[in-house]
Amino acid sequence: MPGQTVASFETRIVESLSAAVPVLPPRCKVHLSLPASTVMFERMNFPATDSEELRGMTRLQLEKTLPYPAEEVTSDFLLVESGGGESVVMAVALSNAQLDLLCAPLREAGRLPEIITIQAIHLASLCPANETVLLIYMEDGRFVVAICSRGKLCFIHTLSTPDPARIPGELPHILLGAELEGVTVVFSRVQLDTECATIRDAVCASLGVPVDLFSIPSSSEDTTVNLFPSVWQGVLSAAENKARLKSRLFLAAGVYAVIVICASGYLFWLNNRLSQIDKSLHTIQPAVAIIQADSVRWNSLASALDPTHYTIELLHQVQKSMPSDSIRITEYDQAFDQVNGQFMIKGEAPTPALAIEFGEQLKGNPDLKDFHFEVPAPAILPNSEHAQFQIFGKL
Amino acid sequence: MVGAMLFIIVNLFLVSSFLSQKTKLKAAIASRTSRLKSLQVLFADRQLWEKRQRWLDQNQPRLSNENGAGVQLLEYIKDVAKKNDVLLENPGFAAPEKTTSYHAISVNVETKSSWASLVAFLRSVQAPERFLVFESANIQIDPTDPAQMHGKFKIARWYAP
Repeated sequence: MPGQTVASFETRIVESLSAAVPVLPPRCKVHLSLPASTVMFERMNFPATDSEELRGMTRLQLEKTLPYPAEEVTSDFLLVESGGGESVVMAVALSNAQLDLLCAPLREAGRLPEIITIQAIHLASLCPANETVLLIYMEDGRFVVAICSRGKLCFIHTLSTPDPARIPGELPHILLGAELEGVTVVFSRVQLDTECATIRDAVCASLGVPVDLFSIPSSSEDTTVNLFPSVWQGVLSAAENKARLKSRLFLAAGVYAVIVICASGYLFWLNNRLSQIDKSLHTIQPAVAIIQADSVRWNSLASALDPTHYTIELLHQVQKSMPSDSIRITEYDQAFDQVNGQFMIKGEAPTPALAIEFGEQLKGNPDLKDFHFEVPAPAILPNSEHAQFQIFGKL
Repeated sequence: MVGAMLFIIVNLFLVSSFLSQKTKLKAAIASRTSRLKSLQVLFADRQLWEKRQRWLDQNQPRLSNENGAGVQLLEYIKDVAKKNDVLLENPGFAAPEKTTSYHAISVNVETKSSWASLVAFLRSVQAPERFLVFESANIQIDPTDPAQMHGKFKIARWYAP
């Protein structure tokens, strides 16, 4: 039965694997434990103890005995006992076609099992480690007789009858067959499935050993044998890759969505900020328009209101800017209206350098900073070193 | 493959339109912020401008009689010239002028005086509450007497419009 390989799990009984698929929890690994009737067991003796050698020998031996080509069979082995350079193994084999058919519902649902074990081997591993135990239990509608020694499955036989009353009669033949294969048939106890408790006394009388009742556990955690076919590895890897790709695509889509949202949010924020500035502009503009009109009116009357534009003040600043008393102003001319204002100074200086210096001092005068000055090169007066100059100041 | 190409093209278009939109918005924000700041600076001075406006409304003279205003102005100039020992020559009226900010009533005069008297005359004529402007002024050394200054002036009173 499928189940989780984690410690906590929920047990549900279903009719078939098809019915189990829908109830499988999503994203959990599937561990499939097969009944003995679906698998072929063969006890083998080999003159080796190395695990890899034993695997190769088992494979070779199975190729000889099985009616399928080696590549169509999945096999594994269980080391029963080893010593003195020899080993006894229990080979387990199953045709891939049969496994495909068995696992078809899981496969179609994309829930391929990652581990495929055998229920009998798991039950054997639960037996006491220092005893030889005869197990009789019901599995997949049939009775199974298994011999377990030191927790290992040594022999197994599946009865064709579903009638528990016939088991005591069959037991001597089964045990004889086991003995012929070299399996110890002296048991310290018998463990009987509660399903066939009715034959407890008969078994006890027949074998003369204590008979205990047990229930088949819901979980199967023994993975000594794994019949996962190698041909499925590709399918499983592809499924894993697909799932990984899908999750990465989801992640990428998430990141992409976050980037798109952030970018849109940023543009929205910028738009909002622009709207707020526009709102502030609309609020302040009428008041500022009045101020600007006042300012225009005041500035257009500057020639009448601002003493620094008065004729007397301009003459005073011109005089202050003279680098020498030897400079002589011969003409002053000015014209002012509401928009423009300009004045012209004509005069003579003892040297051209002094005339130029006068122009520079006018330019540097902070009280005449509103004026832009043009100082053309002075003209040298004939028969004299004196320079005649003209300086223009414009608002 | 086609899907990937389409995705890349659509994203290139989106990124490009995002960047252009961002640049446009940032430029608009920068220019309007700068305009808002300049308006706020002006707005901060609103009390000063209101005060100036009030002062203008109270002090700028209003014109009731255009002819009388010209005569009145000429009389005032004559008075100031007399007080400052300046000789007035060729007094006359100029054509009145109207602008959005003032209504100018002007007179043309010529003067003859010493430099000191001319300076005193010029200083006495103009003051903020008088709204008098030397719309044109030409001062030269008198060619006949270098100790005298000869001036030609167009003096205007700027009345409220």
